[in-house]
Amino acid sequence: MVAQPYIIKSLPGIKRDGTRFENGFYVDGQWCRFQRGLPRKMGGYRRLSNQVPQIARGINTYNEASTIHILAGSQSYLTQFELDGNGTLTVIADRTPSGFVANPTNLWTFDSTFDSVGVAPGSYIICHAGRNLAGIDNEIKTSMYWGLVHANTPLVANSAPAVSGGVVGLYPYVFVFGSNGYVAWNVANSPNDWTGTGSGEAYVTGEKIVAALPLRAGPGNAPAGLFWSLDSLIRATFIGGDAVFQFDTITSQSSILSSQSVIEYDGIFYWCGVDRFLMFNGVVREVPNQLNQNWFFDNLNYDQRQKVFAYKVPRFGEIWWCYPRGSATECTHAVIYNVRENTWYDTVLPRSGWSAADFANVYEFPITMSVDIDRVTNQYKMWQMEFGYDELDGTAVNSIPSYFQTADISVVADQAQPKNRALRCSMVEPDFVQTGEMTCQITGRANARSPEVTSDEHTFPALQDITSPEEQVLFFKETRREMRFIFKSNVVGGNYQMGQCIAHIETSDGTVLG
Amino acid sequence: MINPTGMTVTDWTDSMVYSLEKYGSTSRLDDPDEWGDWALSILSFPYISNQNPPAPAGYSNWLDWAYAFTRAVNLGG
Repeated sequence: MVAQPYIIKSLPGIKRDGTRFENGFYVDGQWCRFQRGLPRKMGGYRRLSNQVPQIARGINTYNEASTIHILAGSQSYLTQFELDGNGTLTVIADRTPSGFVANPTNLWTFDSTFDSVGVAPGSYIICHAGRNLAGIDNEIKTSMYWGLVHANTPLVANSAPAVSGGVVGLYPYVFVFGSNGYVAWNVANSPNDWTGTGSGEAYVTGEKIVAALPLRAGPGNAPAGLFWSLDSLIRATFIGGDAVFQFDTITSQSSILSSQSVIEYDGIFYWCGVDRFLMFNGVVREVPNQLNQNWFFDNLNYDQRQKVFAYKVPRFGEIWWCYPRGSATECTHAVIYNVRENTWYDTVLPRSGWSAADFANVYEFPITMSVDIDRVTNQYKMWQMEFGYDELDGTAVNSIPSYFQTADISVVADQAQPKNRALRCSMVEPDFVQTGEMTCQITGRANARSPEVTSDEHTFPALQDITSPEEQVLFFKETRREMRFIFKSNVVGGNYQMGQCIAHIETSDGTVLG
Repeated sequence: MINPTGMTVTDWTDSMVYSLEKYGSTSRLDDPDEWGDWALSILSFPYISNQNPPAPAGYSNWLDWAYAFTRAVNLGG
């Protein structure tokens, strides 16, 4: 039989749940994302600093006067890194508040606000180190700290009530929140006045409030905010008068896995519940996930649940939830929801993993904090993501392995014309936007319970590096009843975006056992 | 009023909750095919019905109705 051309294409996303055979999605991948329905390598990253004194447990980015102020909170320190517009580190300052009590369970929340009435009007960083890393429902109350954004001096204690939860800015108010559904807010535009007219406090639900974010509101009702308690979602809306704020329960049947798992993306709020992914877009909905929900929740180290954090890569429509997998005690893996492509995939995080991340808005590159100790400084590293194609660790340039594996191609399970035949592949015509050489392998098996058999790697150069016609295609002699293709890039400078690859396939024997 | 261009019907009805809640209680639209029932429920709000909004029965798809609705009704910001 003459080989027929077959377009090597699966559905966008990496399906981890269920068996490999029962799906049309890609079945495996690493450092691979999807754009326009097709796989492509994720970006590289470069080290911004190797002087983060401890593992960061919360970071905040603030842009001002062509400077990016990055605050990283850890168990003992609050360290400020300043970057210029080129991503060059210019200043490292210790802004740890005087008398700050170090604790291994410190988990930081940050925001910013404006003080128009104090002795030094200006933009202020507000932050809170809750003892929440080991327990989301911890009740120990700690102070809020604040300080001018552009200063390098230690932050100072604010007069806000001590709380166990955290802090959020709902301009021109600041809210602190914590156990027993407690919230308190300051006098508008006066972040150090928590007792004057306009300030207030309330117990708005029964369980501890663990996270909060600003929410859009209509004229006369702004500002507004969302507060996540352990079992409910509460909305705060400005109403003025003596009450100042109104609180209403959007749902009392919610859950939240980690106080760091909430993220806003284009006005919609996404977070991890304890057993599903949720979103709020006016109403609470479950985020559909048929690809890796079990992969995530069955393998998450629940003892370390508070280390799960979310960040986003808007360039590619992505929300990342980084999590400790298996017995890991730091975030080693991520599941990724692509809002634009409406699909899910996952990746192993670089090296030993990350502890915090943030998208800086003005700066187009997300910032991540790793848990690896630098051998020179004996401190930790901060990275700029989506930069080039490689890992730039000081002067060291390392390739980043990236691959994906297609869904099964099989005529056995052909819905229209099933045949008890294997497939023989004689040639692959790669079609990639590509730099650096890549490899292709054919893998698969005779039936769903037979061993996987994987071919040798066939290397193909980038288009501009082809020196002979034979290098334009790949020649195989591989037969599988259930056949998949693995494409891989693992060279310095390597990058790819898949196009329309063609396999030359013909039916072969009908051997069922392998 | 939120422009429905590029949105799914459930995304649009979800996001309209903010604007509509001061005029009445809105339900969550789970089945996109039942958008007409959702539309009728909000047309029953007196503030909206007083503005002569378009009836969903006159439209074969939700998007055309949503455009007509956003043109006809002022939700007061």
